[in-house]
Amino acid sequence: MLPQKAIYWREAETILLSDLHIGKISHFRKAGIPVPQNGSTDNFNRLDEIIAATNPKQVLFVGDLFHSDINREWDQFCAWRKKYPSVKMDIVLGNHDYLPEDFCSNYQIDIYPTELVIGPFTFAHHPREEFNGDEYVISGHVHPVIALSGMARQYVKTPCFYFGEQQAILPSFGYFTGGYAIDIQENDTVIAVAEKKLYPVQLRIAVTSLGV
Amino acid sequence: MTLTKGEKVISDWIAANGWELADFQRDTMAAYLAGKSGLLNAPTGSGKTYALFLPILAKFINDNPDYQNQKKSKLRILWITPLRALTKDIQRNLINACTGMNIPWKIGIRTGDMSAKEKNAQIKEAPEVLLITPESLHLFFAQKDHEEMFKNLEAIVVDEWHELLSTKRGVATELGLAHMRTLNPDLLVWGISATIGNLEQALQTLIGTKFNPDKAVIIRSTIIKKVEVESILPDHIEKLPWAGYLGINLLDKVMPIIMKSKTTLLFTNTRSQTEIWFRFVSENYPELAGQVALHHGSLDREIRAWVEENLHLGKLKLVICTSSLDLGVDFRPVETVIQVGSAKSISRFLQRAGRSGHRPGAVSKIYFVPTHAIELIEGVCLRDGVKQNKIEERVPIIQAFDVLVQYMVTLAVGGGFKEDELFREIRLTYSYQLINDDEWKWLLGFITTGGTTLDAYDEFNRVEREGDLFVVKNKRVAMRHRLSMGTIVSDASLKVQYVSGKYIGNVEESFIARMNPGDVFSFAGMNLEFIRVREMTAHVRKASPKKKGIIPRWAGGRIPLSSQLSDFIRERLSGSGYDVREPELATLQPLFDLQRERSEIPNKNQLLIEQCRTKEGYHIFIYPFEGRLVHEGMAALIAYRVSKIRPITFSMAMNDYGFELLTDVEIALEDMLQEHALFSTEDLLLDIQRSVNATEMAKRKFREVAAISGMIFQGYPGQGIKARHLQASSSLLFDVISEHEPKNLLIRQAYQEALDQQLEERRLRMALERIRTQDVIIRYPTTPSPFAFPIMVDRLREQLSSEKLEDRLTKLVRQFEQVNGATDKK
Repeated sequence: MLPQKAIYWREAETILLSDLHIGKISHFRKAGIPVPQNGSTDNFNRLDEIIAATNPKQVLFVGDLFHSDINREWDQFCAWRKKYPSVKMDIVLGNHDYLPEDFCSNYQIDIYPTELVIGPFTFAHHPREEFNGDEYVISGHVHPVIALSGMARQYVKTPCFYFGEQQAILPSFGYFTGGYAIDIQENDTVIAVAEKKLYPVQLRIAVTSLGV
Repeated sequence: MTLTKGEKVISDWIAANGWELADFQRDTMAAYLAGKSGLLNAPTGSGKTYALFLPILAKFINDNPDYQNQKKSKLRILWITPLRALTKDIQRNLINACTGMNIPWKIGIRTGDMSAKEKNAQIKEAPEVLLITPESLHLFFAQKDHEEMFKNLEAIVVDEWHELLSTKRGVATELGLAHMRTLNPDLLVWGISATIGNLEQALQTLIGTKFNPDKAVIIRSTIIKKVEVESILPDHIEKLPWAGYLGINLLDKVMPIIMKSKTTLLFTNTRSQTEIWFRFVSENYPELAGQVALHHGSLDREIRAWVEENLHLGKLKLVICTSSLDLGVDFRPVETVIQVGSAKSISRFLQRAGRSGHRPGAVSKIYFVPTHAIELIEGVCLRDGVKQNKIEERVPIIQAFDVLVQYMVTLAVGGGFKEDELFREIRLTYSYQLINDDEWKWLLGFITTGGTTLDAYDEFNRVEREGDLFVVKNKRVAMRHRLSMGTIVSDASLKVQYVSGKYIGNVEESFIARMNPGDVFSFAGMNLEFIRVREMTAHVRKASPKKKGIIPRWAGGRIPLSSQLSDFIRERLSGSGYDVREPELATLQPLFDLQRERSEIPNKNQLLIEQCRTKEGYHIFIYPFEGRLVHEGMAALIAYRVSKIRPITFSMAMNDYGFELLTDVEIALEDMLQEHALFSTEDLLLDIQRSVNATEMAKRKFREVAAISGMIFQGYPGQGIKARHLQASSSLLFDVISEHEPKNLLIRQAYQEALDQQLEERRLRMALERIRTQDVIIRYPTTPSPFAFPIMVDRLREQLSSEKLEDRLTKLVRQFEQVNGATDKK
């Protein structure tokens, strides 16, 4: 687990991350909504950090790598992609990914439209409600956030990794993305991420997060 | 004195109807015919509409001796009203006068939901008078050639100006007036306002800053309405809960009053309260079925119009409503007004009282129903306030950059604006008289380049520069702007509609999110079964009325107690041990005794502080009696100052009487107060800004700012999934902009709004100064006192912390695990 909101799968030397939403800021600006442009560089800085720290063979994007139609922020991504020619990159498509046809060749990224099975894991963008046998699904999409509450009615809301019985959900990696408080079942594990640190939370009973 | 021809025609018509002009109507006539602008201060139902319309007609007759013959019509008068619901009634009155004097004028209404065809027809054959809301006026500005429409304008009347004055809609009105004055410098501008504490300022905002003061007058009507205030008292004070907001306990005392009177308006402070009252009344008084209705802002406009119509016709016995009926048509059948819960201000209370007793000379009677025990004291205080005629001010909003951004883009959509001309124009408004060159340059940059420096990847697209003209050329940008104009920002809400398609109203998304198909909820006084959510609509069907449905809650700003009313409360508490001549105080005696037994009742030279421990933690209660907003600010301030002394996390709660700081460790406040100036006004601004709350509050304010300035796009029907790719929460935007562009004026505005409106900084400062002169008394009750209880049970809390996030998280994770079960690690 990496505090940059990604997972490094050691055996496969693969980085797993989800929901970058590249181009979101430009998409807004193109529509006349003035979100500061320089926010977009934050994503690439963190990607660089992770690759430098782990030196992976592969990066797997579990959907919503891009936010919407093509725009110039994609060129930034393309430039970033070219920095790591030896790293294999794959994407399982998400609901925001509207990829052009020449995407694979231009960006050297392999596309899996709905899911990708590697070893015991199924990678899919949307979390599942039903499972095939004993597969373990790793997904994204919901931008999970946990609301922690304690004595004297204090609380903190922060992005998190979620690990349930049969599936895990990745936090959203992207900079300009929001979050949704998730429900937690018995015996689930949640790892909260805040200020580049990890905080494991383990529960025996179910907790319904109220969106605070 | 000889009358002009116009005056003669008018006075003949008045006489023929058997009426007589009141003094203020005569004065307005004289001032208007002398070419003056002004502000007319007259209560609803006193003939204020005619006070202005008759002079307008008189002038027309004087200028056009052949006035009865139809010529090509042109728009002469704009009549701005805050509510569309008001326009019908005014239209009726104006038409009545025109027909009575054979003046061939058309009186039109401009609304947002007219078809394009109707709108075009209205432009081609303009009515002489156009009734319009500020929003619809701005929609005109978004059309090319709108100048043509307004070039013959002679006067603008702004009705119920006090209602608009202290809102962003008022700012939008100011901008509209300034724009019209540019088109026609001789324009007369008249406002009509109820009594407020700052009438001069209200006039100033209407006529702008560079207006010749000799050309403007304030005319006050001398009609004073008699108002009687009576509290509904419980037999024993124990009958009233210590905390609560419903007031339903007193239903059996309230109903006889309703039964006795022809029609009653019952005002509550929240929408869910109206639903609850409606349910209780229907359940306990089935004989009233069909004669009780409810009215609030989340109901479909058609339902509301039905209620208003039947109220007008006298077909309803009782209407349970919120501020949605503060304004509106004269409901003559209304005999009785009941206020449930704190009215928060004397002027609002008077305005509501004024909804009854419309016959000239009639006394307006208003009943006050307390919702919890201590609130009963407000009954006396309201009476004090009414007696001494202490009316609150309505302070105009200044430097609202979000409204200006919207206006600039509106003009850019509507044919474009020139930099210098517009700058000159807006600086003549009261609201933007202080805007400086840097701010103006930033705003221009914001709408053209998006505010940040251009880089290679930028594709920002909004307003473009074409020569010296700023214009919007992109059709989609223009369309999106037209669709999102306005300054009323609604909460994120879902439509509620029957499966068959009929629309009922709106509820908040978070409420529906908790419902499962088959669940029943109460809405619009009906029981509805939730079926599904599709797009942004909740589909429902009627459920059996026997089922107890859950009642939705709508988030709404909570209005604080006005400082005038707070003064009266402190004053009355001071004497609470002695004055039992007032029935409210006599009833409250046992509760005051208990408060004294457990703690103390402060006199006006004392500040009461209570500290006590419960299983929730360590509580500190402080009671400045200054209204909840000042308490919110003061709570953050004190919490921050304590947290500077030692790392600590507070959770805070407040009501109109005091506030609470709750921690998980004990604090020796008494010692701290001796060593540290916790209540000092020194570094006040700095300390407030440093307290976490300022950011949180600014963030909340930013929601509205971002929506008005066009940074949040709510989407519209038929846009499909891609429209959602343009949605971001305002708090996310706030974070991103704060990080990358801290000097952004709209972020600054959000902070300023938080300071002015949310923290009432000026009032906070005055309160702190008062506290400095007071003796602090600290008590340590073993059980929470009656004063403390209503604050303690408030679940809407703020937090302030000086502990490191890391420490807090580690602590919270530990506590969370303890509470929720896990002890051993897997």
